Amino acid sequence: MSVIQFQDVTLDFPVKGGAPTYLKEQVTGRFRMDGRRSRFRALDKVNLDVERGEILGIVGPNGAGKSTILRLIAGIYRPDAGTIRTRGRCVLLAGIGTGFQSHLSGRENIKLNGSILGLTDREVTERMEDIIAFSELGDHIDQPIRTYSMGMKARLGFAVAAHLEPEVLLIDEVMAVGDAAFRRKCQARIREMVGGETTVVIVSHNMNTVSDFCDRALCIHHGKVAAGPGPVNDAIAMYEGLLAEEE
Amino acid sequence: MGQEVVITGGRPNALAAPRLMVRRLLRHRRLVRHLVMRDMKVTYHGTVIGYGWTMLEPLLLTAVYWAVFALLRGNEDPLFVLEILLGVLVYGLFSKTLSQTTTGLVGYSGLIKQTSVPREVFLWSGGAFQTLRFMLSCLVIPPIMLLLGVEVDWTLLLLPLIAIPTLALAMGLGLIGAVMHTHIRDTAHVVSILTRAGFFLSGVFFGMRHIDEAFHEAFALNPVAVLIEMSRSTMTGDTSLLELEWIGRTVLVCLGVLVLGSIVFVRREAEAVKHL
Repeated sequence: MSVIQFQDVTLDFPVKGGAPTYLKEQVTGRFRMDGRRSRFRALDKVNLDVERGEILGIVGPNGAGKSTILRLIAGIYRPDAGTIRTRGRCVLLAGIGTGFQSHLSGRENIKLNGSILGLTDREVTERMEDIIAFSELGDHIDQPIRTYSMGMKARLGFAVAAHLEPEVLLIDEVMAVGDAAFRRKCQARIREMVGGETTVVIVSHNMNTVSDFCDRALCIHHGKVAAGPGPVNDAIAMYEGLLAEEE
Repeated sequence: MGQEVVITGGRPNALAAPRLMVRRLLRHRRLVRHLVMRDMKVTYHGTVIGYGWTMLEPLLLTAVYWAVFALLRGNEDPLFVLEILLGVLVYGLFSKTLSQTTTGLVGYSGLIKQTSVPREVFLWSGGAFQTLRFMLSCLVIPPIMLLLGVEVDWTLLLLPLIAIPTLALAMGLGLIGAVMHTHIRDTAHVVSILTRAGFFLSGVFFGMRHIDEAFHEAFALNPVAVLIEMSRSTMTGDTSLLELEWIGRTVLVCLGVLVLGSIVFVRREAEAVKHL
């Protein structure tokens, strides 16, 4: 059964990744002779089908549109054309610890972050001790997180994310959290999560991660599918070929 | 396995937009509560008095107004000081909610680009936070009235209800402002100037009873001015200066602006997020 399905999905962004800032840009942008405002096509008629329990890797050069695909699946962006179908709760792991409030304690941030990521109060309460144990923060958990190191914040962020139990897990370059021992723990936890019925989409520049974890892979280039979804090695070969061309 | 979600291009239907926003807010009401509590903790973090500032602030403001108007200008009418205080509180709820909502999408851009939480949840949490502060500040009105020798009427119980149309107006304008602010970053500056101008045009430092009767009708066209007058009438129980038609019109305008704001926001936010 398809859990994620893209049909001719197209997405445009305003140029420069932001709004026209100055009056001149506003005026020239609105009254261009060709009647169009400057747009950048981030994805162009992308088709995709991910089965339940499958692990799909997405590779491609910087700016190819990999993270945009994850954000479309998560419902953060709405396509300009085409249709996206998803089944089940989607959770995006990107920018671990996003929304942490520095003046609140680790425990208070678990409640807030869990709530932002879609857990109910009861689910947060039930999983609180497991999250704290996973984060290895010990007594620091009741201290404001402004006193934490970057590594401690990342561990706390991943600990919350690791206890979400989503049906669709979207991972955007978050496998390199904390020290080597904690990274191994994170990877083991992700393996546990993907071992069940969870459908996973991984975006990574680390080809070892993609070949270790993924059943199939997709290579994206300039917003278009360059290879796949198919055998992981084919997508990696295409990606390496594109990198060689760019060099 | 959860239900299938289908996302297509195009904007949501305008007529369905307000209902869609309400449904999303109800689904994420726990997150709204968490965000409000976070704002309360962060705002008063590190202060000795903590949440007490929500009540101490209006008390100290009253002392300042009393010093300025009673001592320096010789106006010893205690009602006048209370009228100014209520004006400041109601206008504060309106302007702070409007400013916070206008900058909300840009302010929360980090979270918005990482989570699928409906964006209006973040904006409404700001409005709920300002409303909570307003409610807590209202608690000091009865003691101040007693202190100034003004009789406390039961109609004062209606004061918190003023927050409903005030919030509706500020949120409606703020939802439109939030979308505009992602496209044109000057919006927040314009809103800041307009709310400052509005402070002097909405009768914060004067009321209906201080202006010529010939101008009452024109003055009542400003919904914020009517809301401030309504708050003052809850204190005295005297509604002789307010016509029922003005009250009805103001409430309708506030609710209408909220409906319009929610339609604009729901239909435009997907494009607005691309500008973050």
